[in-house]
Amino acid sequence: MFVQMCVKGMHGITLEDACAIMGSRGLTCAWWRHAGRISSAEIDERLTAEELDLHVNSYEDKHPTRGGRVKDESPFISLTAGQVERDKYEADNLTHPAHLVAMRFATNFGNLRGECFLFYCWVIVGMRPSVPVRHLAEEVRELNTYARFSPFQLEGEIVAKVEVPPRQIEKFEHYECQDGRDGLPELRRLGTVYNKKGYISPHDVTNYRPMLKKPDRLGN
Amino acid sequence: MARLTSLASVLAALELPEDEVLAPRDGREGGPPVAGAPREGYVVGSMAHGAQPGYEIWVNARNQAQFYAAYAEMLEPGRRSRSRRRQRSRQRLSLGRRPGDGGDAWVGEIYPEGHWAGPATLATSYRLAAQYAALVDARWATKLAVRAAMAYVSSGLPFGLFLATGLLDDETLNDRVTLRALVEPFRNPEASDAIRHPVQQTYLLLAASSRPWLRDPLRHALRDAERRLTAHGLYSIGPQGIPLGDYVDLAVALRYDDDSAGLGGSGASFTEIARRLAGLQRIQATALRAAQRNRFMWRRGASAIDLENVALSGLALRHRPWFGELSEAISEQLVRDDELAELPLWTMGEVETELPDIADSVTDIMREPERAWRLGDFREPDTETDPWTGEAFRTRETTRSPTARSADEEHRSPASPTRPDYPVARRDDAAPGTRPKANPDTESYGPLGPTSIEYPQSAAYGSDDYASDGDEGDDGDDPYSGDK
Repeated sequence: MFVQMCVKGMHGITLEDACAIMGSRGLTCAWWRHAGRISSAEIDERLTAEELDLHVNSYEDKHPTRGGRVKDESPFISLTAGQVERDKYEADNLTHPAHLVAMRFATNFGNLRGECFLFYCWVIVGMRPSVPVRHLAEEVRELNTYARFSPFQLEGEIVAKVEVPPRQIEKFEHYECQDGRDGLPELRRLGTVYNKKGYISPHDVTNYRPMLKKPDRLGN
Repeated sequence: MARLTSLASVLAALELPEDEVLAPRDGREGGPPVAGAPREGYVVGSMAHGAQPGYEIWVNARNQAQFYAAYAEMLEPGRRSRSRRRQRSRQRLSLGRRPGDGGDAWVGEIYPEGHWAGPATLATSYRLAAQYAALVDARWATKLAVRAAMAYVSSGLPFGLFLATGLLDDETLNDRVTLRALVEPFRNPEASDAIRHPVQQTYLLLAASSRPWLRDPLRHALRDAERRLTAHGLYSIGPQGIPLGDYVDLAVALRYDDDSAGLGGSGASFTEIARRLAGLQRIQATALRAAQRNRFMWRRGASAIDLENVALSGLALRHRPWFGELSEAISEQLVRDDELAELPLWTMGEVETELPDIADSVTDIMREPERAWRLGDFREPDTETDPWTGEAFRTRETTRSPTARSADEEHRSPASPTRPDYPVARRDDAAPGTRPKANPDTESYGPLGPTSIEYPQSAAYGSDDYASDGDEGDDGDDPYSGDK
């Protein structure tokens, strides 16, 4: 397992919503948002490879076993960590940085004229497919893990499950996409809000030991 | 006989099979596709008028082209220095702390100067913009593609030369200044690691095989290239994951056709080239059909045109004065295949048709690529034509507000966040349908207003527990619309 920093692009929310997501709600899956209340047993039932496949490849289709569309029923949350296409930059010619990919989703594929948000967070990713394990994210961009070919693999998708808690959300950036000169959209960052109260850096909880600078309060 | 003969036929081919006809979001009935749907009410990103086959793909292609072009433009070095000047100017004016962090300051943070990610993303973004623009306007797409090619060249990647020589004809390339800019970085094989990389060597070899006049300046970089590349022949490269050896075989077929290479020049090579290209294009069609299975992404973000494949076709079509003849021969090879296999040929044909009219602009872009974004005709489609009627229209600039709302909506409901302490200009100060008045002291700030309000760095976050609210059920609009 490893810690992966990711970005989540969102639109259709206000600054107040964004603060609430980072402060208390966390990033939650559509299923939870729509159901209002879900149980551990239900979560176990929903975290399957079939559901993940629906989320990744049939997002807007009708869910085969539930009432609504997959996008309203999915227990997964799409994040991106970027992707360099199949090879290092010198070898191939397309690079998909996380910011660019997240911004593409946040602006609703270039359709949005208004405000959008990028949430920066971390998740723990399994080195092998681990769909039933709620607290491990799936690296669907990784061809070694998910060998099947996806034409949209270049989204650099990391799929979290059910929620990304506020403790793992470092900050959000607030952007506005508006028509600039000659009508070409212009992406302006309106501000950045850090989760100073709640964020726990992965460095604080993983095998990372900073060099000794000065004795701490315990004299170590 | 080619089946993709117009943009409308391409869009129809790209339409999802057995797709349900979605009702327009303005509440009118959806109904089957209607020819010649009216343009009134055309709003980018909505289904405000009839559902022509491929209409949504066309609208989204335009928006995506604009998005990627805008993103690339934000990374242009000239634009960044202008931003820095603007920031220094603000500091001199002692305007205090800006709310947020100032428009495009994010560029320098995310793509720090000197790091490869910036130039790489610049090139990628222009390339993606060109690919989407190809479904809107071939002139616009060509200019964006040429800018992408120059970005690759300035990063030391032969892929840029491959793109430019594939898309452009000898007449356009025959400009001493642009030719030097294109070729000079690749004369010396020691100039960068990238030149010696097998994939980039392959692109260099293909460019030189297509154009005999490139062989002399590139002779050092390509010495013994074919033999060296043999060892890498089974590696999959490019967006379609095609074995590198297939590219080399095409390069060899082009060279065998060439009298000046002393290898003959037989009619057999014409057929061989057509056969090889048809094979490559079949692979792309298969990949596109696979991509259609993800209907969400296909409708919004499918990039049906692959510039690499287009340029590959271009290199062969421009190898000799046989553009139409070879194009027809490839189409013949594909006559029993998926019509999407013809996409690269159709795109290349569109580029060929429009190139004479934009040759001057293209030369300007190649001479001064970093200034291209300043050119008015670089930023927008040259012509906005209804693909289904052929009628020209241009309503976007005059009807769409910055938030894609009508003027009345804009006035009634300012699109500002709900927090009372949020530092966004009160848009209701502005007259209906107009942009908010700029603060004369902060003219360059755009829509942001007062500068004395702090951004909520330590905002008092909401304390409600999402799960325990009990009132978060599915009884209203999901505020996270469009969120995946």
